[in-house]
Amino acid sequence: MPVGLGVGLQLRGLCKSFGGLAVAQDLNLDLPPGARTALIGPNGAGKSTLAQLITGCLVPDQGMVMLDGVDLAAVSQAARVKRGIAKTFQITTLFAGLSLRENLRLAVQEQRGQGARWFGRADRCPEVEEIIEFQLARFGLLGLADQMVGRLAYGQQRLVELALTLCLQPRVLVLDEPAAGVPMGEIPMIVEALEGLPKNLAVLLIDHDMDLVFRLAQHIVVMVAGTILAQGTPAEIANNATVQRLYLGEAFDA
Amino acid sequence: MFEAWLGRMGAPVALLGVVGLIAFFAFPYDLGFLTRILIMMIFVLSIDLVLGYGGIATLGQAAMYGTGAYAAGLFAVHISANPLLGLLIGAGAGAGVAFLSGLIVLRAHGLGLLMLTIAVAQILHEIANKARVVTGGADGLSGIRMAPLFGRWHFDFIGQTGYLYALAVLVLVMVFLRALCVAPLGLTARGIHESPVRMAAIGVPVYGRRVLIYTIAGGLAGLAGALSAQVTALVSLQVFSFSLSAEAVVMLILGGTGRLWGAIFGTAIFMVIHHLAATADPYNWLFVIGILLLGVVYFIPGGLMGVRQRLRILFGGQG
Repeated sequence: MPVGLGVGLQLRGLCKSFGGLAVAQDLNLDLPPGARTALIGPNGAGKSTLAQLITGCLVPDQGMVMLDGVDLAAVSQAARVKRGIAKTFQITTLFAGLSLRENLRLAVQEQRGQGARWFGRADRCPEVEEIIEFQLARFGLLGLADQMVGRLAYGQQRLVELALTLCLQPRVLVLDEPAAGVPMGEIPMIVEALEGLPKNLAVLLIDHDMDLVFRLAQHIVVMVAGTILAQGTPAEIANNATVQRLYLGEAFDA
Repeated sequence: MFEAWLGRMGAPVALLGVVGLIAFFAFPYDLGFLTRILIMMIFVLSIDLVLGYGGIATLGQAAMYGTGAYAAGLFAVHISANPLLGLLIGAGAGAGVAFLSGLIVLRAHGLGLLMLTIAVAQILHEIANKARVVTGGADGLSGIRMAPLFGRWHFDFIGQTGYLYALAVLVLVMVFLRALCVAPLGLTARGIHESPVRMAAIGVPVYGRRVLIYTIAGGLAGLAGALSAQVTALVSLQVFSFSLSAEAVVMLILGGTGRLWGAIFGTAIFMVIHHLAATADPYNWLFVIGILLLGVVYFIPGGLMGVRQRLRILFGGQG
C-alpha cells in the first residue's frame, strides 16, 4: 500500500509565472478527505490559477501537486480526472444540445473507460444507468432527465454541473463559484445541494460570495497577489485584522 | 429483443435497401448514374461522421476517398482482382491516410483545420499527378479488371452487378453507422462536438478521440473510393479534387448535418437535381443548386431532414 494513502491532495511549494507576473508563489495547501476548504481573495489573486494547477490545466514552474503522496506532475488533465480530481466550471459549460441523462452518461462512461467503444448501445449499460439515476436523484433532477440541458433554468443547469462532476466519482472536488449568476430565488437550492455533497469528498470552494463561504467552509484560505495571506477557521479569518482590511472590508463588520 | 432491435435499427435501413431495389427495376438504363449516387452517399456519410457528429471542419475528405480509389485500383491491377479484398484494401488505405494526416491536422482548430484538410488533399493530388509511372498521372489509372463478385457475378456493361454491389455496401455502411452512433463512441463524438473543453474536463482525451473518429470516417471514405474504382474500372486525378470534397459537404448541408438520413437524402436530391438541371441546361445548372442551397440554409437551417422536426415544433409537439 502506498505510503500516503488517504492523505488526500497536497500542494507543496507551487510557483507559476506568466512572463514577469507571478500568479502563484510558493503555495502550500492540504485537502484531506472530507475537507471543506474555501479559497477567497480579490480578483487577480490567483485563485483560478491555483484551480488550474490542481486540475492539470496549467503546469507549475516549480513545486508539486500530490494525490495520496503521489506526484501528479506527469499526469495529464484527463488522467487526473480518472484519479479523482474534478472541477466544476464558473461559467456553465454543459452539453446544451444533449439531454440531461446523456450529459451524465458521457461522464460515467468515460469514468468507466468505455468512452471509445464502437459496439453496444451507450444507453443499455445497467451499471452506467444506475450511477446516472443515483446522481439525478441526489440533486432532485429525476423529473428533468430527458430534457435538453440547454432548455433548463440556470439554477437547474448549475445543479447539472454538480451532478455531471459527481458522476466522475471524484475524491477531490474544486468548485469554481458554484452559485455564480444564479438568481437569488434559486440559491438555496444550490446551497442545499452543496451541503449534501458526500462526506468523505475533499472540497475546495472558490468563491466571492461570503455568505456561501462562511456557511459551507470549515477552513478558509485567503489569497492575495499569488500568495497565501492567511488561513484558518472561519472565526479566525473573520477576526483577522489584515484580512479585514485587505479583503473583507467594512461590509463584514456590520 | 431481436424484434425491438429490428424495429429500431433494421427497418429504416431495410427500407433503404428496398427503395434501392425498386430503383434498380424502375430505371434499368440509368444504373451507372444511380451507382454513382450510392457511392457518393457512402462518401457523404463519412463526411457526416467527421463534420456532423464529430464537429471537425473539413473540406478535404477527398484525400481519403482518392487514396482508397488508387489503393483499390492498384491492388486490382497488380495483385488481385478480388473485389471484396480490394474494398478492404481501399478502406484500410483511407483509414491509414486519415490516421496519419489526422495526427497533424487535428492539432489545429477552426479555419486552420479547414485549410489543413484542403492541403492534405492537394498534396496527395500532386503526388498522384507526379507519380505517372504508378498512377498514370493525368491520364488516370486504367486496366482495372475486376474478378466476378463471389466468383459468380460478373461486372457487366449495363452495371447491374455494380449497382447491387454498391447498394449492398451502402446498406452495410448504414447499419454500421447506426450502431456506431448509439454506441458510447457516438455519444462521445456528439459530446466533443458540443463542448471539447468540457469533454477534457470529464477526463476525455479529446485529441485522441478526434483522431479515432477521423480515422473511422477515413476508412469509410476509402471504401467509397474503392467502390468507385472497381465499378467504373478507372481512377482519375479527380478523386482528390477540391470540388469533390466541397460538393459532398454541400450535399450534407442540404440534407442536414449530424443525421445519417440527412447524408442519404441530401446526396440523392443534389445528384438528381444536378442530373436533371444539367441535362436541361448544361451551362446554368449550378444556378439551380445555388438557389436550392440558399433556400435551405435560410429557411431550414437543419437541412431537409430538419423539416420534420420543425413541423413537429410548429404543431406543438416535442422537438
